[in-house]
Amino acid sequence: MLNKTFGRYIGKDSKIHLLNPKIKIICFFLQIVMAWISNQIEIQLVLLVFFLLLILQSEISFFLFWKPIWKMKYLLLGICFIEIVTKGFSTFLVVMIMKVVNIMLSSTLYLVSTKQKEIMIGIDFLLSPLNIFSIPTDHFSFLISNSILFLPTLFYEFDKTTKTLTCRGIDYEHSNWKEKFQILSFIIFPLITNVIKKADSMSDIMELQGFQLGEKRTSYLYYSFYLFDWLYLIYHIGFLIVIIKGVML
Amino acid sequence: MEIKVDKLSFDYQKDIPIEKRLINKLSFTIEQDKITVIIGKNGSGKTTLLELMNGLLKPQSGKIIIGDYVIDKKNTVDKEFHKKVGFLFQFPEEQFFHSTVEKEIGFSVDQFQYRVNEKEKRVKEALLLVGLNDSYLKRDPLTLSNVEMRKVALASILIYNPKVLFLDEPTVGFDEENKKSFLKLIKRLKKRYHKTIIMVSHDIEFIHKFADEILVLDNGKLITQGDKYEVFKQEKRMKEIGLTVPKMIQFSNLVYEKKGKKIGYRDEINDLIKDIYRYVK
Repeated sequence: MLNKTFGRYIGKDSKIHLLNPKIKIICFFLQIVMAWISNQIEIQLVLLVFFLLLILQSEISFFLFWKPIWKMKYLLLGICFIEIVTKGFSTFLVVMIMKVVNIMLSSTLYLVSTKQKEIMIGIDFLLSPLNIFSIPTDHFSFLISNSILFLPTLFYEFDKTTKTLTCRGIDYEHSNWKEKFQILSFIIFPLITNVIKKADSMSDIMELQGFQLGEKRTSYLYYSFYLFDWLYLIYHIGFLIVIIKGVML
Repeated sequence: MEIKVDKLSFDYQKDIPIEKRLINKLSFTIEQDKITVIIGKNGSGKTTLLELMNGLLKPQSGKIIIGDYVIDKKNTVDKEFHKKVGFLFQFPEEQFFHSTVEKEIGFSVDQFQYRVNEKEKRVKEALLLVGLNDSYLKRDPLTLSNVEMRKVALASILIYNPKVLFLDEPTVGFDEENKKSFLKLIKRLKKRYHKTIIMVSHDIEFIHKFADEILVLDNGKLITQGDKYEVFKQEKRMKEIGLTVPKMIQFSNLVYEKKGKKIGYRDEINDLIKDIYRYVK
Protein backbone atom coordinates (compact mmCIF):
# COMPACT_ATOMS: atom_id res chain seq x y z
CA MET A 1 0.00 0.00 0.00
CA LEU A 2 2.97 2.25 0.57
CA ASN A 3 3.76 1.90 -3.09
CA LYS A 4 0.26 3.01 -3.93
CA THR A 5 0.32 5.96 -1.54
CA PHE A 6 3.85 7.24 -2.05
CA GLY A 7 3.69 10.52 -3.91
CA ARG A 8 -0.09 10.47 -3.96
CA TYR A 9 -2.15 13.36 -2.67
CA ILE A 10 -3.81 12.70 0.67
CA GLY A 11 -6.68 15.09 1.15
CA LYS A 12 -7.00 16.88 4.50
CA ASP A 13 -8.24 20.29 5.59
CA SER A 14 -5.00 21.28 7.31
CA LYS A 15 -3.29 24.67 6.96
CA ILE A 16 -0.47 23.02 5.01
CA HIS A 17 -2.97 21.64 2.49
CA LEU A 18 -4.70 25.00 2.12
CA LEU A 19 -1.53 27.00 1.47
CA ASN A 20 -1.38 29.01 -1.73
CA PRO A 21 0.35 26.74 -4.32
CA LYS A 22 2.73 29.53 -5.40
CA ILE A 23 3.87 30.22 -1.84
CA LYS A 24 4.01 26.49 -1.16
CA ILE A 25 6.37 25.67 -4.01
CA ILE A 26 8.68 28.61 -3.17
CA CYS A 27 8.83 27.46 0.48
CA PHE A 28 9.42 23.88 -0.63
CA PHE A 29 12.49 24.95 -2.61
CA LEU A 30 13.64 27.10 0.31
CA GLN A 31 13.35 24.05 2.57
CA ILE A 32 15.50 22.00 0.20
CA VAL A 33 18.10 24.80 0.02
CA MET A 34 18.09 25.13 3.84
CA ALA A 35 18.59 21.41 4.33
CA TRP A 36 21.27 21.25 1.67
CA ILE A 37 23.51 24.21 2.55
CA SER A 38 23.78 23.89 6.32
CA ASN A 39 26.59 21.70 7.57
CA GLN A 40 25.96 22.05 11.29
CA ILE A 41 24.26 19.35 13.32
CA GLU A 42 22.40 21.93 15.41
CA ILE A 43 20.77 23.52 12.35
CA GLN A 44 19.90 20.13 10.86
CA LEU A 45 18.29 19.19 14.19
CA VAL A 46 16.28 22.42 14.23
CA LEU A 47 15.20 21.71 10.64
CA LEU A 48 14.19 18.18 11.60
CA VAL A 49 12.04 19.50 14.44
CA PHE A 50 10.62 22.13 12.06
CA PHE A 51 9.64 19.49 9.47
CA LEU A 52 8.15 17.28 12.17
CA LEU A 53 6.02 20.20 13.32
CA LEU A 54 4.88 20.81 9.74
CA ILE A 55 3.98 17.12 9.39
CA LEU A 56 2.03 17.34 12.64
CA GLN A 57 0.24 20.40 11.29
CA SER A 58 -0.58 18.57 8.03
CA GLU A 59 -2.59 15.95 10.00
CA ILE A 60 -1.01 13.15 7.91
CA SER A 61 0.27 10.09 9.74
CA PHE A 62 4.03 10.17 10.37
CA PHE A 63 4.20 6.50 9.36
CA LEU A 64 3.79 7.52 5.73
CA PHE A 65 6.91 9.69 5.99
CA TRP A 66 8.95 7.22 8.00
CA LYS A 67 8.51 4.24 5.68
CA PRO A 68 10.43 5.63 2.65
CA ILE A 69 13.28 6.66 4.96
CA TRP A 70 13.33 3.20 6.54
CA LYS A 71 13.44 1.62 3.09
CA MET A 72 16.62 3.59 2.39
CA LYS A 73 18.37 2.23 5.47
CA TYR A 74 20.78 0.03 3.51
CA LEU A 75 21.78 2.91 1.25
CA LEU A 76 22.39 5.13 4.28
CA LEU A 77 24.30 2.37 6.07
CA GLY A 78 26.37 1.83 2.92
CA ILE A 79 27.30 5.53 2.80
CA CYS A 80 28.20 5.41 6.52
CA PHE A 81 30.36 2.33 5.99
CA ILE A 82 32.29 3.86 3.08
CA GLU A 83 32.78 7.14 4.97
CA ILE A 84 33.94 5.41 8.18
CA VAL A 85 36.36 3.13 6.30
CA THR A 86 37.87 5.92 4.21
CA LYS A 87 37.78 8.91 6.57
CA GLY A 88 36.80 7.57 9.97
CA PHE A 89 33.79 8.69 11.98
CA SER A 90 33.03 12.40 11.74
CA THR A 91 30.15 14.78 12.41
CA PHE A 92 30.01 15.36 8.64
CA LEU A 93 28.60 11.84 8.30
CA VAL A 94 25.77 12.58 10.73
CA VAL A 95 25.05 15.86 8.92
CA MET A 96 24.90 14.06 5.55
CA ILE A 97 22.38 11.51 6.83
CA MET A 98 20.30 14.24 8.44
CA LYS A 99 20.34 16.17 5.18
CA VAL A 100 18.95 13.15 3.29
CA VAL A 101 16.27 12.56 5.95
CA ASN A 102 15.25 16.24 6.03
CA ILE A 103 15.03 16.50 2.24
CA MET A 104 12.96 13.33 2.08
CA LEU A 105 10.59 14.60 4.78
CA SER A 106 10.18 17.93 3.04
CA SER A 107 9.58 16.51 -0.44
CA THR A 108 7.18 13.82 0.80
CA LEU A 109 5.21 16.46 2.71
CA TYR A 110 4.97 18.60 -0.42
CA LEU A 111 3.83 15.70 -2.61
CA VAL A 112 1.22 14.25 -0.26
CA SER A 113 -0.28 17.61 0.68
CA THR A 114 -0.46 19.19 -2.78
CA LYS A 115 -2.94 18.39 -5.53
CA GLN A 116 -1.57 17.71 -9.01
CA LYS A 117 -3.25 20.85 -10.33
CA GLU A 118 -1.64 22.90 -7.55
CA ILE A 119 1.79 21.44 -8.34
CA MET A 120 1.23 22.47 -11.94
CA ILE A 121 0.25 26.01 -10.92
CA GLY A 122 3.31 26.22 -8.66
CA ILE A 123 5.75 25.00 -11.31
CA ASP A 124 4.15 27.27 -13.89
CA PHE A 125 4.63 30.21 -11.53
CA LEU A 126 8.28 29.34 -10.91
CA LEU A 127 8.99 29.00 -14.62
CA SER A 128 6.98 32.10 -15.60
CA PRO A 129 10.08 34.37 -16.00
CA LEU A 130 11.08 32.14 -18.94
CA ASN A 131 7.96 33.30 -20.79
CA ILE A 132 9.91 36.40 -21.83
CA PHE A 133 12.02 34.11 -24.05
CA SER A 134 8.84 32.54 -25.54
CA ILE A 135 9.49 29.21 -23.80
CA PRO A 136 6.23 27.23 -23.38
CA THR A 137 6.41 26.96 -19.59
CA ASP A 138 2.87 25.57 -19.33
CA HIS A 139 4.03 22.52 -21.32
CA PHE A 140 6.92 21.95 -18.89
CA SER A 141 4.78 22.36 -15.79
CA PHE A 142 2.18 19.99 -17.23
CA LEU A 143 4.89 17.42 -18.01
CA ILE A 144 6.46 17.62 -14.56
CA SER A 145 3.18 17.46 -12.64
CA ASN A 146 2.05 14.49 -14.73
CA SER A 147 5.34 12.70 -14.12
CA ILE A 148 4.73 13.06 -10.39
CA LEU A 149 1.21 11.76 -10.88
CA PHE A 150 2.65 8.63 -12.48
CA LEU A 151 4.96 7.79 -9.56
CA PRO A 152 2.41 5.57 -7.78
CA THR A 153 1.57 3.88 -11.11
CA LEU A 154 5.24 3.04 -11.60
CA PHE A 155 5.49 1.58 -8.09
CA TYR A 156 2.30 -0.40 -8.60
CA GLU A 157 3.46 -1.85 -11.91
CA PHE A 158 6.87 -2.68 -10.45
CA ASP A 159 5.23 -4.50 -7.55
CA LYS A 160 2.95 -6.48 -9.86
CA THR A 161 5.78 -7.48 -12.22
CA THR A 162 8.09 -8.60 -9.42
CA LYS A 163 5.32 -10.69 -7.88
CA THR A 164 4.60 -12.35 -11.24
CA LEU A 165 8.28 -13.15 -11.70
CA THR A 166 8.52 -14.60 -8.18
CA CYS A 167 5.66 -16.96 -9.01
CA ARG A 168 7.43 -17.98 -12.22
CA GLY A 169 10.56 -19.05 -10.38
CA ILE A 170 12.70 -15.92 -10.05
CA ASP A 171 14.57 -15.88 -6.75
CA TYR A 172 15.81 -12.34 -6.07
CA GLU A 173 17.40 -13.06 -2.72
CA HIS A 174 19.65 -15.87 -3.90
CA SER A 175 20.64 -14.39 -7.26
CA ASN A 176 24.10 -13.04 -7.95
CA TRP A 177 24.70 -9.56 -9.40
CA LYS A 178 24.79 -10.81 -12.98
CA GLU A 179 21.45 -12.57 -12.55
CA LYS A 180 19.99 -9.54 -10.79
CA PHE A 181 20.94 -7.39 -13.74
CA GLN A 182 19.20 -9.86 -16.05
CA ILE A 183 16.09 -9.86 -13.85
CA LEU A 184 16.00 -6.07 -14.13
CA SER A 185 15.54 -6.42 -17.89
CA PHE A 186 12.54 -8.73 -17.29
CA ILE A 187 11.01 -6.04 -15.09
CA ILE A 188 11.74 -2.96 -17.17
CA PHE A 189 10.10 -4.12 -20.40
CA PRO A 190 6.56 -4.76 -19.01
CA LEU A 191 6.96 -1.76 -16.69
CA ILE A 192 7.62 0.70 -19.51
CA THR A 193 5.04 -0.90 -21.82
CA ASN A 194 2.30 -0.69 -19.21
CA VAL A 195 3.13 2.87 -18.15
CA ILE A 196 3.17 4.04 -21.79
CA LYS A 197 -0.18 2.31 -22.37
CA LYS A 198 -1.65 4.04 -19.32
CA ALA A 199 -0.22 7.43 -20.32
CA ASP A 200 -1.59 6.93 -23.82
CA SER A 201 -5.09 6.11 -22.60
CA MET A 202 -4.95 9.04 -20.15
CA SER A 203 -4.07 11.48 -22.93
CA ASP A 204 -6.91 10.07 -25.08
CA ILE A 205 -9.39 10.53 -22.23
CA MET A 206 -8.20 14.10 -21.60
CA GLU A 207 -8.52 14.96 -25.29
CA LEU A 208 -11.99 13.43 -25.44
CA GLN A 209 -12.96 15.59 -22.48
CA GLY A 210 -11.93 18.70 -24.39
CA PHE A 211 -8.49 19.30 -22.90
CA GLN A 212 -6.07 21.22 -25.08
CA LEU A 213 -2.65 22.17 -23.78
CA GLY A 214 -1.75 25.83 -24.14
CA GLU A 215 -5.29 26.96 -24.81
CA LYS A 216 -5.68 30.52 -23.55
CA ARG A 217 -8.58 30.83 -21.19
CA THR A 218 -9.39 31.98 -17.68
CA SER A 219 -8.52 29.37 -15.08
CA TYR A 220 -11.43 28.13 -13.01
CA LEU A 221 -9.04 27.82 -10.09
CA TYR A 222 -8.26 30.96 -8.14
CA TYR A 223 -6.06 30.93 -5.07
CA SER A 224 -6.04 33.96 -2.78
CA PHE A 225 -3.15 34.94 -0.56
CA TYR A 226 -4.00 34.84 3.11
CA LEU A 227 -2.09 36.06 6.15
CA PHE A 228 -0.91 32.52 6.95
CA ASP A 229 0.60 32.23 3.43
CA TRP A 230 2.68 35.40 3.92
CA LEU A 231 3.71 34.39 7.43
CA TYR A 232 4.74 30.97 6.13
CA LEU A 233 6.87 32.59 3.41
CA ILE A 234 8.40 35.21 5.72
CA TYR A 235 9.28 32.51 8.26
CA HIS A 236 11.04 30.47 5.57
CA ILE A 237 12.96 33.46 4.20
CA GLY A 238 13.98 34.48 7.74
CA PHE A 239 15.09 30.97 8.53
CA LEU A 240 17.12 30.80 5.31
CA ILE A 241 18.83 34.12 6.09
CA VAL A 242 19.80 32.82 9.55
CA ILE A 243 21.19 29.63 8.02
CA ILE A 244 23.14 31.53 5.32
CA LYS A 245 24.62 33.75 8.03
CA GLY A 246 25.54 30.63 10.02
CA VAL A 247 27.18 29.08 6.95
CA MET A 248 29.17 32.24 6.20
CA LEU A 249 30.43 32.59 9.78
CA MET B 1 -2.59 -30.43 -1.74
CA GLU B 2 -4.93 -29.36 1.01
CA ILE B 3 -4.86 -25.72 2.11
CA LYS B 4 -5.53 -24.68 5.69
CA VAL B 5 -5.94 -21.08 6.70
CA ASP B 6 -5.94 -20.37 10.42
CA LYS B 7 -6.92 -17.02 11.99
CA LEU B 8 -5.29 -15.14 9.15
CA SER B 9 -5.14 -11.34 9.44
CA PHE B 10 -3.54 -8.80 7.17
CA ASP B 11 -3.76 -5.07 6.60
CA TYR B 12 -1.54 -3.11 4.30
CA GLN B 13 -0.32 -0.47 6.71
CA LYS B 14 -1.47 0.73 10.02
CA ASP B 15 -2.07 4.40 10.77
CA ILE B 16 -2.10 5.73 7.25
CA PRO B 17 -5.25 7.54 6.08
CA ILE B 18 -6.28 4.84 3.64
CA GLU B 19 -5.75 2.08 6.17
CA LYS B 20 -8.15 -0.79 5.85
CA ARG B 21 -8.01 -4.16 7.52
CA LEU B 22 -8.29 -6.31 4.46
CA ILE B 23 -8.18 -9.78 5.92
CA ASN B 24 -9.69 -10.24 9.33
CA LYS B 25 -9.13 -13.49 11.27
CA LEU B 26 -9.99 -15.81 8.40
CA SER B 27 -10.11 -19.54 9.04
CA PHE B 28 -11.09 -22.16 6.48
CA THR B 29 -9.91 -25.31 4.73
CA ILE B 30 -9.75 -25.92 1.00
CA GLU B 31 -9.89 -29.59 0.04
CA GLN B 32 -7.58 -30.99 -2.60
CA ASP B 33 -8.68 -31.87 -6.16
CA LYS B 34 -11.60 -29.48 -5.92
CA ILE B 35 -12.48 -26.21 -7.59
CA THR B 36 -13.02 -23.56 -4.95
CA VAL B 37 -14.23 -20.14 -5.97
CA ILE B 38 -13.79 -17.06 -3.79
CA ILE B 39 -16.51 -14.47 -4.28
CA GLY B 40 -17.14 -11.06 -2.76
CA LYS B 41 -17.63 -7.44 -3.66
CA ASN B 42 -14.76 -5.26 -4.91
CA GLY B 43 -12.35 -4.54 -2.06
CA SER B 44 -13.47 -7.51 0.02
CA GLY B 45 -9.91 -8.87 0.09
CA LYS B 46 -10.05 -11.64 -2.52
CA THR B 47 -6.86 -10.78 -4.41
CA THR B 48 -5.01 -10.04 -1.17
CA LEU B 49 -6.02 -13.47 0.12
CA LEU B 50 -4.64 -15.11 -3.05
CA GLU B 51 -1.37 -13.18 -2.70
CA LEU B 52 -1.11 -14.27 0.95
CA MET B 53 -1.72 -17.90 0.03
CA ASN B 54 1.08 -17.61 -2.55
CA GLY B 55 3.55 -16.23 -0.03
CA LEU B 56 3.77 -12.90 -1.88
CA LEU B 57 2.56 -11.04 1.21
CA LYS B 58 3.40 -11.84 4.81
CA PRO B 59 0.50 -12.31 7.21
CA GLN B 60 0.48 -10.09 10.28
CA SER B 61 -1.06 -12.86 12.33
CA GLY B 62 -2.33 -16.38 11.77
CA LYS B 63 -0.95 -18.91 9.31
CA ILE B 64 -1.52 -20.70 6.03
CA ILE B 65 -0.55 -24.35 5.60
CA ILE B 66 -0.13 -25.60 2.03
CA GLY B 67 1.24 -29.14 1.90
CA ASP B 68 4.49 -29.09 3.88
CA TYR B 69 4.75 -25.31 3.79
CA VAL B 70 3.72 -22.99 6.58
CA ILE B 71 3.33 -19.31 5.74
CA ASP B 72 3.16 -17.05 8.76
CA LYS B 73 4.77 -13.93 10.22
CA LYS B 74 8.16 -15.65 10.50
CA ASN B 75 8.17 -18.32 7.79
CA THR B 76 8.30 -17.48 4.16
CA VAL B 77 8.23 -19.64 1.02
CA ASP B 78 11.01 -20.63 -1.38
CA LYS B 79 11.43 -21.40 -5.06
CA GLU B 80 10.33 -25.02 -4.57
CA PHE B 81 7.00 -23.76 -3.23
CA HIS B 82 6.35 -21.71 -6.38
CA LYS B 83 7.08 -24.81 -8.43
CA LYS B 84 4.16 -26.56 -6.74
CA VAL B 85 1.81 -23.59 -6.68
CA GLY B 86 0.91 -21.62 -9.82
CA PHE B 87 -0.65 -18.17 -9.75
CA LEU B 88 -2.35 -16.56 -12.74
CA PHE B 89 -2.63 -12.86 -11.96
CA GLN B 90 -5.40 -10.60 -13.14
CA PHE B 91 -4.51 -9.42 -16.68
CA PRO B 92 -1.35 -11.60 -16.80
CA GLU B 93 -0.81 -10.60 -20.44
CA GLU B 94 0.48 -7.24 -19.17
CA GLN B 95 3.53 -9.02 -17.78
CA PHE B 96 4.91 -10.50 -21.01
CA PHE B 97 8.55 -9.68 -21.69
CA HIS B 98 9.73 -12.17 -24.30
CA SER B 99 9.56 -11.71 -28.04
CA THR B 100 7.97 -15.08 -28.88
CA VAL B 101 5.26 -17.26 -27.35
CA GLU B 102 7.75 -20.14 -27.18
CA LYS B 103 10.22 -18.15 -25.07
CA GLU B 104 7.47 -16.72 -22.88
CA ILE B 105 6.06 -20.14 -22.03
CA GLY B 106 9.49 -21.75 -21.70
CA PHE B 107 10.76 -19.13 -19.25
CA SER B 108 9.79 -21.07 -16.13
CA VAL B 109 11.42 -24.26 -17.42
CA ASP B 110 14.79 -22.49 -17.14
CA GLN B 111 13.96 -20.93 -13.78
CA PHE B 112 12.82 -24.16 -12.17
CA GLN B 113 15.77 -25.98 -13.74
CA TYR B 114 13.98 -28.67 -15.64
CA ARG B 115 15.95 -30.58 -18.24
CA VAL B 116 16.62 -28.35 -21.24
CA ASN B 117 15.91 -31.16 -23.75
CA GLU B 118 12.42 -31.45 -22.28
CA LYS B 119 11.73 -27.77 -22.83
CA GLU B 120 10.48 -27.92 -26.42
CA LYS B 121 8.19 -30.86 -25.67
CA ARG B 122 6.81 -29.21 -22.55
CA VAL B 123 6.11 -25.91 -24.34
CA LYS B 124 4.15 -27.69 -27.07
CA GLU B 125 2.18 -29.74 -24.56
CA ALA B 126 1.29 -26.69 -22.47
CA LEU B 127 0.22 -24.78 -25.55
CA LEU B 128 -1.94 -27.67 -26.72
CA LEU B 129 -3.50 -28.00 -23.28
CA VAL B 130 -4.83 -24.44 -23.43
CA GLY B 131 -6.19 -25.02 -26.94
CA LEU B 132 -3.53 -23.34 -29.08
CA ASN B 133 -1.50 -25.08 -31.77
CA ASP B 134 2.19 -25.02 -32.79
CA SER B 135 1.65 -22.12 -35.22
CA TYR B 136 1.64 -19.76 -32.23
CA LEU B 137 5.15 -20.72 -31.09
CA LYS B 138 7.06 -18.12 -33.09
CA ARG B 139 4.49 -15.33 -32.77
CA ASP B 140 5.00 -12.22 -30.69
CA PRO B 141 2.74 -12.58 -27.60
CA LEU B 142 1.82 -8.89 -27.72
CA THR B 143 0.24 -9.29 -31.16
CA LEU B 144 -2.25 -11.94 -30.02
CA SER B 145 -5.86 -11.29 -29.07
CA ASN B 146 -6.68 -10.79 -25.39
CA VAL B 147 -8.07 -14.31 -25.04
CA GLU B 148 -5.06 -15.87 -26.75
CA MET B 149 -2.70 -13.84 -24.53
CA ARG B 150 -4.53 -15.08 -21.44
CA LYS B 151 -4.19 -18.65 -22.72
CA VAL B 152 -0.46 -18.17 -23.29
CA ALA B 153 -0.13 -16.80 -19.74
CA LEU B 154 -1.95 -19.87 -18.41
CA ALA B 155 0.26 -22.17 -20.51
CA SER B 156 3.35 -20.52 -19.03
CA ILE B 157 2.12 -21.66 -15.61
CA LEU B 158 0.88 -25.11 -16.62
CA ILE B 159 4.29 -25.89 -18.13
CA TYR B 160 5.81 -26.51 -14.71
CA ASN B 161 2.87 -28.66 -13.68
CA PRO B 162 1.90 -27.08 -10.33
CA LYS B 163 -0.37 -29.09 -8.06
CA VAL B 164 -2.33 -26.05 -6.94
CA LEU B 165 -3.58 -23.34 -9.29
CA PHE B 166 -4.64 -19.89 -8.16
CA LEU B 167 -6.54 -17.93 -10.78
CA ASP B 168 -7.44 -14.29 -10.24
CA GLU B 169 -10.44 -13.42 -12.40
CA PRO B 170 -9.20 -15.39 -15.41
CA THR B 171 -12.24 -14.82 -17.63
CA VAL B 172 -12.49 -11.02 -17.44
CA GLY B 173 -13.19 -9.76 -20.97
CA PHE B 174 -14.05 -13.21 -22.38
CA ASP B 175 -17.10 -13.72 -24.58
CA GLU B 176 -19.50 -16.63 -23.95
CA GLU B 177 -17.74 -18.99 -26.36
CA ASN B 178 -14.34 -18.38 -24.83
CA LYS B 179 -15.80 -18.75 -21.36
CA LYS B 180 -17.14 -22.16 -22.37
CA SER B 181 -13.78 -23.30 -23.71
CA PHE B 182 -12.10 -22.02 -20.55
CA LEU B 183 -14.67 -23.90 -18.48
CA LYS B 184 -13.80 -27.12 -20.31
CA LEU B 185 -10.13 -26.53 -19.66
CA ILE B 186 -10.69 -25.95 -15.94
CA LYS B 187 -12.78 -29.10 -15.65
CA ARG B 188 -10.13 -31.09 -17.53
CA LEU B 189 -7.38 -29.79 -15.27
CA LYS B 190 -9.35 -30.99 -12.27
CA LYS B 191 -10.48 -34.37 -13.57
CA ARG B 192 -7.54 -35.53 -15.63
CA TYR B 193 -4.64 -33.77 -13.95
CA HIS B 194 -6.04 -33.68 -10.38
CA LYS B 195 -5.28 -30.02 -9.78
CA THR B 196 -6.57 -28.14 -6.79
CA ILE B 197 -7.98 -24.94 -8.25
CA ILE B 198 -8.72 -21.78 -6.29
CA MET B 199 -10.27 -19.03 -8.31
CA VAL B 200 -11.56 -15.51 -7.79
CA SER B 201 -14.48 -14.48 -9.97
CA HIS B 202 -17.37 -12.03 -10.10
CA ASP B 203 -19.24 -13.95 -12.79
CA ILE B 204 -21.81 -15.79 -10.70
CA GLU B 205 -23.55 -17.51 -13.66
CA PHE B 206 -20.17 -18.84 -14.79
CA ILE B 207 -19.12 -19.97 -11.31
CA HIS B 208 -22.36 -21.91 -10.93
CA LYS B 209 -21.38 -24.24 -13.76
CA PHE B 210 -18.14 -25.57 -12.37
CA ALA B 211 -17.47 -24.64 -8.74
CA ASP B 212 -17.39 -27.40 -6.15
CA GLU B 213 -17.00 -25.14 -3.15
CA ILE B 214 -17.66 -21.45 -2.68
CA LEU B 215 -16.10 -19.10 -0.18
CA VAL B 216 -17.85 -15.77 0.41
CA LEU B 217 -15.84 -12.80 1.66
CA ASP B 218 -17.06 -9.42 2.80
CA ASN B 219 -14.76 -6.72 4.17
CA GLY B 220 -12.04 -9.31 4.76
CA LYS B 221 -14.29 -11.57 6.78
CA LEU B 222 -15.53 -15.01 5.88
CA ILE B 223 -19.31 -14.86 5.52
CA THR B 224 -19.92 -18.44 4.53
CA GLN B 225 -18.17 -21.43 2.97
CA GLY B 226 -19.41 -24.71 1.62
CA ASP B 227 -20.87 -26.64 -1.27
CA LYS B 228 -22.11 -24.23 -3.97
CA TYR B 229 -25.76 -25.16 -3.42
CA GLU B 230 -25.47 -24.66 0.33
CA VAL B 231 -24.09 -21.19 -0.32
CA PHE B 232 -26.62 -20.29 -3.02
CA LYS B 233 -29.44 -21.44 -0.75
CA GLN B 234 -28.70 -18.41 1.41
CA GLU B 235 -30.06 -15.97 -1.18
CA LYS B 236 -31.16 -13.34 1.35
CA ARG B 237 -27.80 -13.34 3.12
CA MET B 238 -26.02 -12.98 -0.19
CA LYS B 239 -28.20 -10.02 -1.13
CA GLU B 240 -27.43 -8.36 2.19
CA ILE B 241 -23.75 -8.21 1.26
CA GLY B 242 -24.47 -7.06 -2.28
CA LEU B 243 -24.11 -10.39 -4.10
CA THR B 244 -26.63 -12.28 -6.21
CA VAL B 245 -27.20 -15.97 -6.82
CA PRO B 246 -27.49 -17.54 -10.30
CA LYS B 247 -30.78 -17.03 -12.15
CA MET B 248 -31.58 -20.77 -12.15
CA ILE B 249 -31.17 -20.92 -8.38
CA GLN B 250 -33.30 -17.80 -8.00
CA PHE B 251 -36.03 -19.50 -10.06
CA SER B 252 -35.94 -22.68 -7.94
CA ASN B 253 -36.04 -20.60 -4.74
CA LEU B 254 -39.00 -18.61 -6.07
CA VAL B 255 -40.96 -21.76 -6.96
CA TYR B 256 -40.36 -23.10 -3.47
CA GLU B 257 -41.36 -19.79 -1.89
CA LYS B 258 -44.57 -19.32 -3.92
CA LYS B 259 -45.73 -22.89 -4.48
CA GLY B 260 -43.97 -24.80 -1.73
CA LYS B 261 -42.56 -27.23 -4.30
CA LYS B 262 -38.89 -28.20 -4.39
CA ILE B 263 -37.68 -28.59 -7.95
CA GLY B 264 -34.03 -28.89 -6.99
CA TYR B 265 -30.94 -26.96 -8.05
CA ARG B 266 -29.43 -27.64 -11.44
CA ASP B 267 -26.23 -26.63 -13.19
CA GLU B 268 -27.58 -26.80 -16.74
CA ILE B 269 -30.69 -25.05 -18.05
CA ASN B 270 -31.82 -28.22 -19.94
CA ASP B 271 -31.95 -30.20 -16.71
CA LEU B 272 -34.04 -27.46 -15.10
CA ILE B 273 -36.47 -27.46 -18.06
CA LYS B 274 -36.88 -31.25 -17.68
CA ASP B 275 -37.65 -30.77 -14.00
CA ILE B 276 -40.23 -28.10 -14.76
CA TYR B 277 -41.81 -30.34 -17.40
CA ARG B 278 -42.05 -33.19 -14.91
CA TYR B 279 -43.54 -30.82 -12.34
CA VAL B 280 -46.17 -29.42 -14.74
CA LYS B 281 -47.05 -32.89 -16.00
